Amino acid sequence: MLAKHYLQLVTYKAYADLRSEAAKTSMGFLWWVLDPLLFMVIFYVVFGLIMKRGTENFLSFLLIGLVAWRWFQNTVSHGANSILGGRGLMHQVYVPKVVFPLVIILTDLVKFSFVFSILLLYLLLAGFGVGHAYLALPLVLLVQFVLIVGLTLLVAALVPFLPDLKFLNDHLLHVLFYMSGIFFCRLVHRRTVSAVFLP
Amino acid sequence: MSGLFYWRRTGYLHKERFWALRDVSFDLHHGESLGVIGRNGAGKSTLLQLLAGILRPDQGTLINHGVRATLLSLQIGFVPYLSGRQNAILSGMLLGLAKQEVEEKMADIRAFSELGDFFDQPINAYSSGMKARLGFSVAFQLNPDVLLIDEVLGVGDAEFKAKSSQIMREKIRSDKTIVLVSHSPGTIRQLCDRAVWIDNGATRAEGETTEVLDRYEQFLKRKGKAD
Repeated sequence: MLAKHYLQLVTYKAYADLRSEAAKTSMGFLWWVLDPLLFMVIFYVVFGLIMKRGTENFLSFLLIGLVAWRWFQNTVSHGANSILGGRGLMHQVYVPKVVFPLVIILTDLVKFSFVFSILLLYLLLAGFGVGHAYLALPLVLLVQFVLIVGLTLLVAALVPFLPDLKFLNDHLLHVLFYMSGIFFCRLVHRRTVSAVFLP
Repeated sequence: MSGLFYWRRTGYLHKERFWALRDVSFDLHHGESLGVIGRNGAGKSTLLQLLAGILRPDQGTLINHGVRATLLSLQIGFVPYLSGRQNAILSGMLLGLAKQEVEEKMADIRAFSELGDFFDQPINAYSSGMKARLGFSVAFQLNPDVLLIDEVLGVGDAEFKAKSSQIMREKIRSDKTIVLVSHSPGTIRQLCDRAVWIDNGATRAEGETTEVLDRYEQFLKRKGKAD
């Protein structure tokens, strides 16, 4: 009964936050797509065109990596501040603290699904057919979702006790970003990782 | 019986802390209106937060026979750019009402708030008085076992203030269980059956309203002379 109430609260709060955010700017929820798109354009220009790090199909490779990465990074980074940000609310009314990061996880999931649908559409238009690998997609997404939920809840719980962690968190995410396989193809990356971890 | 204790911390890693409440002790009976009086910083609001379950006492016991106590919070969780209706749902849910309950009471909320067509407009277009009216109309729908009220009785412009204050007084005088915090002896004398006086986080007196208030007022007078 209570669990159901708080679940309803999480969904309605997430809906309210998304609506409010969309109403804030004149282009509304278009920004949920435009924002990551601009981000990706910058990366493509810097790494693909200027630094010529590109391999075959570099644009698609980059887009897939960035879309998945930004889902992870945004949720963890927003979630880190969620409980601390709810301070005013929780001094007025009893709310299970887990509600705050859950709302963030849900809103970022919705935004990700927008961007992800567009990515799939792009890949189809770019001539990448639907193959057997697509069968693994739900599982891959689920694994990433579980990782995001776990890490976001953990960070959200720690930050109120150690507010300094919030700053560290963003930098750690940054380091993680450059360590991930987003703009290196798999083989290159394996060599770099070995160089770092197994000197 | 042990009273309630609560540390006020400046941060979790800091040593600076003081007792916001030290040995506060009283009983609350079903159906009564209990007034809590004391000067600013006496620990009245902390006490309400403990009763509402927002804070947990560091020492002492709070015996609750399964009742739900809710702090009357106005405009809680309001989100800008959403309509009055949507904010009413959100605020009501935060206060513990089921979404369906809020929707059932929507007509009452709308009527009481006197917002008319503005009810479906985004609240960033509201004046602060309009927001206050919406906030009150939602919070008033609350029906917990114990209602905790911190000072606020009426809000908004003069007319709405009179109306909201009137309806709130009726609610307090009814057989609902209420804990009313105030620094004004007049309000408590008018509305409460029993009273508790706390000072510096500790109970100074508990009992019949007149008795407790007389002692409180004598204390204030002595204090005034001494200063």
